[in-house]
Parts: sequence; C-alpha cells; structure tokens
Amino acid sequence: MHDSLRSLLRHRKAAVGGGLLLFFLLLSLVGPWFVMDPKDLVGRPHQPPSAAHWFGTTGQGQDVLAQTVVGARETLAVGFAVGALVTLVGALVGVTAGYLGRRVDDVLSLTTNVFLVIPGMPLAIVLGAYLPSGPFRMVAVLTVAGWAWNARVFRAESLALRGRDFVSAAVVTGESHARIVSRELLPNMASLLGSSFIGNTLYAVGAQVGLEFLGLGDVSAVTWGTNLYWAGNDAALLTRSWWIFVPTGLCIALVGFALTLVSSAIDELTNPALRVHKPAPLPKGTTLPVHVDRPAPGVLLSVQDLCIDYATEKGASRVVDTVSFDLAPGEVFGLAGESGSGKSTIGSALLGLLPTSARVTQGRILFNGMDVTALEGAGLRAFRWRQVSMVFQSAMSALNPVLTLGEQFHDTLAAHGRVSRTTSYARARELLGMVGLSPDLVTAYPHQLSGGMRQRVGIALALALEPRLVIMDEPTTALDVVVQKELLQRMLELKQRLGFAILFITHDLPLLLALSDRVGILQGGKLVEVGTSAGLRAGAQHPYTQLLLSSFPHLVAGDVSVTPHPPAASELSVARPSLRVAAIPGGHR
Amino acid sequence: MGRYILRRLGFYLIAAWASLTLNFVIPRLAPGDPASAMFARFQGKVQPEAMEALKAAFGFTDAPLYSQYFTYLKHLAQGDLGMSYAYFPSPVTEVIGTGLMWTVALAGVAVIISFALGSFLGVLAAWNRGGWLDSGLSPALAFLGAFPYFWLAMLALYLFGFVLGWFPLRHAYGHDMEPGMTFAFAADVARHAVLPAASIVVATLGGWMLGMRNTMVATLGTDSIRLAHARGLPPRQVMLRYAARNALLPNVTSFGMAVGFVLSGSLLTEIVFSYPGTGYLLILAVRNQDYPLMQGLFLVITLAVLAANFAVDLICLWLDPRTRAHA
Amino acid sequence: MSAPLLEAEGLTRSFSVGGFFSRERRPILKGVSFSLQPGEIVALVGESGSGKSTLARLLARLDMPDAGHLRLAGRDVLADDSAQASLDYRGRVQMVFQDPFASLNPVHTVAYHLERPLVRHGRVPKSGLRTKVLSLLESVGLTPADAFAKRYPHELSGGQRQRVAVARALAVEPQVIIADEPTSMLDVSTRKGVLQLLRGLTQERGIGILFITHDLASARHLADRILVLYAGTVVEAGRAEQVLGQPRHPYTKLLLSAVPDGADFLQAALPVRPATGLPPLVGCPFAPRCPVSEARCSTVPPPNILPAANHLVRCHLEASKGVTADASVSS
Repeated sequence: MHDSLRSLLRHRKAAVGGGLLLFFLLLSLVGPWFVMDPKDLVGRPHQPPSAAHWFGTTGQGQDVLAQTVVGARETLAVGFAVGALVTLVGALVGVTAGYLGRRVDDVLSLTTNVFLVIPGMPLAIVLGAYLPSGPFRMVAVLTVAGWAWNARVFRAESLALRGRDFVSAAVVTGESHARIVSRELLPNMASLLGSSFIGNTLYAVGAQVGLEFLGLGDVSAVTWGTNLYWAGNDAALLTRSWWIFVPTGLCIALVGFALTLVSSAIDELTNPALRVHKPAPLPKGTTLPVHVDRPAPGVLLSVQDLCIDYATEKGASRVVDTVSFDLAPGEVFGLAGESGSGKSTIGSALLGLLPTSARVTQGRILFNGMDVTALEGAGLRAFRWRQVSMVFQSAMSALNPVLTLGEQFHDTLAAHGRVSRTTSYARARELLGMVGLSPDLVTAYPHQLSGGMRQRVGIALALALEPRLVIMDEPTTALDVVVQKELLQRMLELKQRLGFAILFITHDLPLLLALSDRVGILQGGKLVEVGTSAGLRAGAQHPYTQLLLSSFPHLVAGDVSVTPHPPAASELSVARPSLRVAAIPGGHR
Repeated sequence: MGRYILRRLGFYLIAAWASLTLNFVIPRLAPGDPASAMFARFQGKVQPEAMEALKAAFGFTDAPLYSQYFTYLKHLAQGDLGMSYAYFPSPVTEVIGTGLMWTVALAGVAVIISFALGSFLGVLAAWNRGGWLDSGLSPALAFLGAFPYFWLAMLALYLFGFVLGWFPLRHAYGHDMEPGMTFAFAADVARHAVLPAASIVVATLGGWMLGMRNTMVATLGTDSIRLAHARGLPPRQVMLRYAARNALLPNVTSFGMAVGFVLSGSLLTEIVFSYPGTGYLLILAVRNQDYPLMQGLFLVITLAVLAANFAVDLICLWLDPRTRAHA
Repeated sequence: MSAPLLEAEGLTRSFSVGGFFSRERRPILKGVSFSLQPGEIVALVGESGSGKSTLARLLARLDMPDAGHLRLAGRDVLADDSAQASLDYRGRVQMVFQDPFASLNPVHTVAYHLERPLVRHGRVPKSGLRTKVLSLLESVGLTPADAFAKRYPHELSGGQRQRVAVARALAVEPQVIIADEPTSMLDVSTRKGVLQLLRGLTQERGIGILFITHDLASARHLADRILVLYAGTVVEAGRAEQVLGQPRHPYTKLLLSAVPDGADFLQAALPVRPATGLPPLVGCPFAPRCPVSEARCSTVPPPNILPAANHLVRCHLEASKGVTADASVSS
C-alpha cells in the first residue's frame, strides 16, 4: 500500500492532476473570503476585465471573478458527494450481483442494464422536474441517473474475483459471506473503487453543470452551472462578453482534466499493460551490415555467443547469456528449461520477434550463413516464415478470431508472393489434409475448432511456405497427453516427408528426449549442457540436468521411493523472488 | 443467430417497458402534488369542465392506480402522449415530431464521425506508442473532452459565428430557405450543422481515441499479433486486419452504451445554437414546466436510444463470428 | 472393516447448457463412487473434460451434487446443510488448489492466510496464534518461518506458495485433503518436493489424500490406489500397481501409451480410433474412440466387472473374464 502511494506521487500524470485538484479544493474552501459578494451588483453590466473587476462583470453587473470562485464550492461539493454516492450504490449492487450470482444476479443485472440504456439526461430532467427544489435534489437526481455504469463495472470485477481460487479457498476455510466480501473481495478492488470515485465525480460535475445550464438547478444559487445559465440568459454571446462564460468553462475543464489525469494514472499503475515503458536504454549491440558467411557444411542454424538483455526499471537484465549451439538440416533439436530460463526468448530472437524492451547485445544468429539479428524491414519480413516458421503454445489465441482459416492462409501466402485467393485456398485445403484435418475447414473460424485441432492448424500454417526450420514453442503444453502424442507423431511423419528441421522448446524433458536428436539444457539463461538424447539419458554430466531428469516420475522404472527428504535448498531460500508477474490487485479486466 | 436477436429484442422490450413505467410512476410518487400543480397551469386556458376531461385524458383520475396505469398504456399505444402546455393545444407527439428528426440527424452524424475518426486515431496512437500522436494529441483531446459540450458550442459560436462570421448563428437553415429536396437547401442545412456537429465531435473525439488506444494496446500484446508478424505479413495488414479489427469489437459495444450519453450532451449543444431539435424543446419544457412535453421527450429520446443500441448489437453480430456462433 | 474416512456414492452432477430458457443439461459426473481410508492416497486420473475438477469441488463442498451420497466417517454430510455442520465438515476436509498464483489473496500476508483457519475453527487460543503459524510454516519446510510469515504472495516462488497453501489446509488439522493438481502449475524441479510433502502427511498424521491429476506417472509415484475417470464415469479402479501394471480398460491402456516416458514412446501407435464430438450419453462413453468396441458397447452401458480383488473395470469386453459386481459396490 505504501509502495503504491509512493509510485502514485512519482507518476507525472498523477502529480499534475492531483496538484490541480488540490488547487481547486483550496480555492473552494478559502477562496470565497477573498472575493466580493458574487450576488452584489457591483458595477455596470457587461464590462470587460479591468483593474476593479479582473474578470469583468456579468450581464447584471456582478463580479465574474467572485462568481467563478464562489461557484467552485457548491459545484465541487455536489460533484464529490454524487461521486461517492454513485460509487457506493454501484459497488453495492454490482458486488451483490457478482458475488451471489444466480437469480439475484439475473434480476440485478437486468435492472442495471435497463438503467444503462435509458439515457441519463432526460431521466434526470423528468425526475428533477418533479422533485422539490433544494440542495439534495441535484444529488438524488444524478445518483439515480448515473449508478448503473458503476454497478456493471463492479459486477464484472467481482464476478472475475469470485472465480479466483482464493475465494474458493476462503469458502473451504469456513469464512462467512460477509467476511469474504469485506476481507477478500473489497481489498482487491481498492484501486477500482478509487478510479470509479474519480470517474463518477467527473460525471457528476459535467451532468450537474448541464442540468443547471438548462435551468433545472437552483438559479438563485451561485454555481458554475448557474453562472453559465445566466451567461446564456443575459445574452453574453450577443453582447460579445466572452469574459462572462470563459472563466467558468475553463475551471470546469481544468477540474475535469485533473480528474481524468488522476483516474488514468490509477489505471496505468494497476494495469502495467497500459504503461508506456521508458526503460533504461540498453547498450546498442554490435550490429554490422547484414553479412553472409559461407555456411558451414551440415549447419543450417548457428547460434553463436548469443546474449539478450531485457530493459527493466532497475536497469538491464540478462535473460540469455552467451548461448551457442548449431542445428543441422533436418535435425530435431530440443531446448529444455524451466520458467525464466530464457528458452522462449531464444525462439523469439530467431525470428526477430523480441519485444521492444529486449535486445540482442552480443553474438550472432546465423541462418545459412546470414546473420538474422541484423535483418530489418522488408528483408526481415521476407525471411520470416519462408525460411523459419513457428508454432506457438497458445494456438487457442494465436489465430485471428474474426478471420476464417482460409483467409489466414491466404494472408500468409500473399505476403510472400503474388497469389490468387483460389490458389491460396487450394493450398490451404491441401495443408489441412496433410495435418489430418478435413479440408473443408478452410471456411471455419478458429473458435469452431478444439484445442488439438487448432494446434494442427498452427502446424499446417507453419508448413505453408515449406520453410527449412520450424520453431515449436511448447506446442503441446496445453493439450491432453493423448492429443499430444497424436500431434507429435503426425509432426514427425511430416518432417520425414518434407525434411524440415525442428527447434523444439519445452519444459518437459522426458518428451524432449523421446523426440529430439539432440537436447540443450537451459538454466537461468545459460546453456549448461548439450548432448544427444541417448547420451543424456545414459549419463547427464551437469547436476542441473540430473536434477531435472530425476524430477520426472517414471511409469516403469523402479523409483517409487517417496521417502521424505529435505527439499532442494534453492527452492526454499527466502531471497529468491517470484519470476512471474505478481497478480495485480484490482486490475481491470 | 435468430435466438440471439430475439433475446436482445426481448431485453429492449423490457427496457422500453421499464421506461414507460418510470414515466408513469415518477409524477405519482413525487412529493407534494405535482399533478395538480401541472393542471393548475392550464387554468384560464380551458373551461373548468374541459379540465376534468383533460385530467382523464392524462390518466390522472381518482380511479385506482392500476386502472390509471392501463389507461396510460392505452393512450401510449394509440400514440397519444397528452397535450403540450407551452404549445397548447397541440398534442405532444406533434410538437416532438419534427424536432426528433433534426436531433437524430445532428447527433447521429456527429457521433459517427467522432467514433470513426477517434478510433482511427486510437489505432495509430497505439501502433506508434509513445509517438507524438500518443503523447501529444491524446492529452490535448482529453483536455478538450473535459469541457462541457455546450460550453465548447458557446465558444465556437462566439468565435466562428459572432467574431469571424464564418457560420450562421442559429437554427438549422436560413429563414429565406424553402425546405425541400433541393441542393441549395441541403447546402444551407450542412452550413448550419457544421458548428454544432464540430463542437460535439471535438468534445467526444478524445474519449473514443483513448478507448481504442487502450484496447488496441492490449490486442497488440496478444499472440495473434506475434504470429501475424512472424508470418512476415505487411505491417499495415497486421495493424488493420489483425489488430484493429479485433480491438474494434469492445469499442463498438461501448459505442452503444455511449449513444445515450452523447445524445444528452448534444441536446445542450442544440440549445446554444437554437437548433430546432428536441434539445430546444426540452429547455422550453423545463422553463415553462410543461410536464407532458417533458415526459413525452423522455419517452421518445429513450426509445430512440434503445433503437440505436439494438442497431449496434446487430453490427456486433455482423463483426464478430463468435457471437454469431453462440447465438 | 470400519467405515472409510470419506466415502462417495453415486455422485452425479450436470450443468445446464444454452440460454436462460433452455432446459438442456449436460452431465459432467455420472454416478461416481469411491472411498478413502486414513493415511491413504487415492489418485483420480483423468483428462480435461473428465469431470475431475467438478468432483473436487463437490467433495470440498463448493458445489452440490444433483444426486448421490457423501459420507464422512460414516455420517451423511449432505443431509445436514446447517452452517454448523458445514463448518464442522470444513474443519475436517480441506483442499489444496491447482494454481498457487490464484489461491492466495494478493492483498494478505502469509501469516494472515494461516491465522484465519486457526481463528475460524478455534484451533488455538489467541496467545498461541503466532507460535502455531510459525510451526505450520516449519512443518511445510518454509524456514526461517518468521521471515516467510511477513511476506506477501507475490514475493514467493510458485513452489513456496504451494507450500503455504498446504500449510493453510493443515492448520485445521484435517482428516482429509483434496489436492486438485497441486503440482501442474509448478516448475518441474519443485514438483517432487511438494509431492513428498503430501506423502509425508499421510505417514506422519494419517491424513487421507485425494490426489487429482492428469499425469499417470505422478499418480503411480504417489498413490496407493488409482481411479481412472472418463467422461464423468470411473472406468477402472484398483491398486496403483495393478491398474498401471495390468490395465484392463481400453481407455487406461490408451492413457498409458500416451505418457511421454522412454525413448520409444513415439514409435508405438496409439490404440485409439479417431472420433470427434462429445461422448455419447447412451452405452459406453468411450465406445466411439475404442479400438475394440462392439455393437453392444454403443447401446448398453457396461457393467462393473471385478477381475481381481479390489480391481474394478467398467467394460463389456471384460465381462467374460471377471466377476460382475452389483452396481452398488464402490471401488
């Protein structure tokens, strides 16, 4: 909590927005004592700014500066009150619906959605017209007209949190509903509550000003809205008295802008995906113009002393550290490693797909003698997929959900040469048949396929241009074992037929040993051991390889020993931080 | 697919029924006796005997509430929203009729331009993240978006109407114009619409841009974009056909939600320009306490927003094959 | 023989599919029966969609079955749905979830996660709370305990978090722990430690563990008995070495042949027929994919066969070989 407050203050948007907001709060609190009475007729009407009246006078002869300053008080008070009330009602309805679910949710969601589509302003006007005028009318009217959006947001959030295992765990612990809501759900919504409150205040100020401009407020009070109402009534435009409406409008906009800044600062701090990273600059790698070595005979891919750094806020972090290996044409080479070992980063680097925060800082990747790390623009695009293609772990999400399979094959083929749709579709049908799918699926959308089928499509797509190397990044991790084996057998069969090489990346060492000709073991970005599958199985040299090998239980060997012995020290040391990004409390989904 | 459409239609019918009922309930639940106050305003305009008939026509009788409700629904079904006080003795439907057309045309055109332009800018901002569009234009538009719509309208009218004299000051077409399907009339209408439409567009552009930018940023981080790049697809194709096409979907949904909000704002803009739409009627109704007109406007505007939302649902259905399948 | 610790009989659960007005329901569990003895580990093996997670939720009473009985030490727990009975059950049956990144609340410290069950079930007086929390952390191998107690979940690695989750389950001194794929989200080098921890609990404290997994190899590694679940039905059950050593059901054989183990695992063909779509509702659910299925398989549900003591197979092809059991016999 302390950390998040501190980072909020460091945040530029938050600082500017918060500063502005503070200024207006102070203005509304102490300002009225320093200006004239806003209702007094202190001068001639429609006077431009002068030494006596810095902001000029209104159509009735009142001081505009006084009206602007005093107007802040009620406007902001109503704004914050409505903001708080709308947040409260919305959170109450939304969390109740999302947490209790079933019929309660059906009823509350329906009510919420109905109020959401009924336009707020006309509803507020009808309500306001019938309620007795008074300070609370505005608050009541704006709350009724505005609660629904919040209820929807909070329902979605609590529904998402409700499905998280820590809520189930609390139920299993025996916690009461009240305690689960107050201690498990709500603390996770702190930032959502904050940004909703800000957003609702923004809504309240705008809607309030609008209603008052219509004449639905108390026209004898001094608020920003009534200032504008009188500006309109007293023909400020006709008399070209711009000073009557400009100061109030600017104040409204500044408050609104400040609220927007604070709210987006909260969003950005809790949802790192929206942040623009300004990481410490990385030392530029020694990129030479694309140069082509004479490929060594029998070597398709040669990774030489490869180092890849990620820029983080604390400086550069090395995720791939002087990795070297060769791959022969038609060979299956396996890269094994746990999370954070850098195995996927290497796969991305081979296709020039590193994220913007990562950079090759040393070494070369030679494909057929050509340095891939020096490729850019059109040259890189031509290299991708024609020479090296890739199958992703998440075939589920890697295909474009709104295009048919045929279209995605066509896009791929058309990017590498002029080709008609008819030709592409014929080729797509042929490829789908090759991976054991019905050719008629060219007209199907990705969501119509099962996980195993989508992964087959991923392989068919990878083979579309008959590349010489296919990178497979955990292609079967999300699949059941039976589907996994079907897929791998099909893949090896195609490899026999078409002769491409495979770089297979996974954490599953037994699988890799069965599949690959040679295997490299990665630990913390370093390649600690490379050997043939048979060699590693017979006798791994490096202790980490031995640890990995012994970690997988076998089906047949006699290792049923489960005598408890102290766990490996590395796992239990306090110092080691989690490699996964921490769950973000109240992150927006 | 048919089932999905029926379900949405069912929802909008419920929403329509809810707003009809709110419209019935609000005057009757209000403290004091606003109904009597309302009829007091007719005093002197109609004979005392006619007064009773008028009350009956509005459904304010001594009959039990449910029978009042059915009378109310019956009148609605016949398209009878009562009589306007301000335009007495014109029926409310007649008063609203022409106004609605102008409002839908003005707000519709402005909202569509703003959404299309804003979304496109959002796509570009996300694609060149941290570029001038992202870090320069985006906050500038956010600042403009913080002004009330009608205030921007006042400023635009002051600068381009009164000071510079580039555009007409009020109304939807000139006094000397004969409404008709002529080119000259259309051009005049367009000239009159520029300032009000532009002020709505300027006020809402930033919101659409930011919304699209944020969903686009999220979409750009997905594997589907990585795969598109890996396949060597041209960047423009990745940006539009792979990223923007998918990022657009959630924004179209929120477009439906925002229609009511933007419409509310544009009503106020109409007032500034004395545009003959429903907003102008609304202020007349509020200032004259013309309850029947006010309530009629509420109903008509709500139904228009519901219809717009239904149209957006149909567009989503057309855009997203997944909704088509689940339906 | 005394009553088993936890006993399920004919647990059935289905979920409605389609929209608001649809009455269509898809069965997820179709009469699952099993028992668990003190100090025993029973592995429930199945692929995605087999209903194993639904069963875990039923046993943890996070969900109610449509039909069937659940008995804890001989007492029917579903009959009494009072709050006290529910709390009592939770004091004796605990659960460890699959994803330690999701099962700990990011806003609470490790100590909070362990104190809550202790307080809620009144296991220790307030003064002894801190000592108990530290000893729980030590018992799952998280030392120095006072350093771990102060931490937030995001400051721990996956394996450490899962140990905290185990400690939380242990806090109430339960008799049964339901472990739903406790290692599948962990890095391989930390899996073994968590499995050993669970095994230790059965030996030291006599806790019965239901170990839910998709991985036959770790089931063999850990479990005394194995149940194989397919499409909501237990198709084979028995002692671990029996089920994995002499599998009878074609589906068990299929699963075994797909485990990536040994140099030649990719050489042997899979004993399966290609089939798509959902498992059929009549006859044997595996029939469309079964390489040896016969005509009756797709019409008549297979009976329970007992080819050996404590070994159950639900397959028509075994009928000629084994003893047909009456349907009420649990595994």
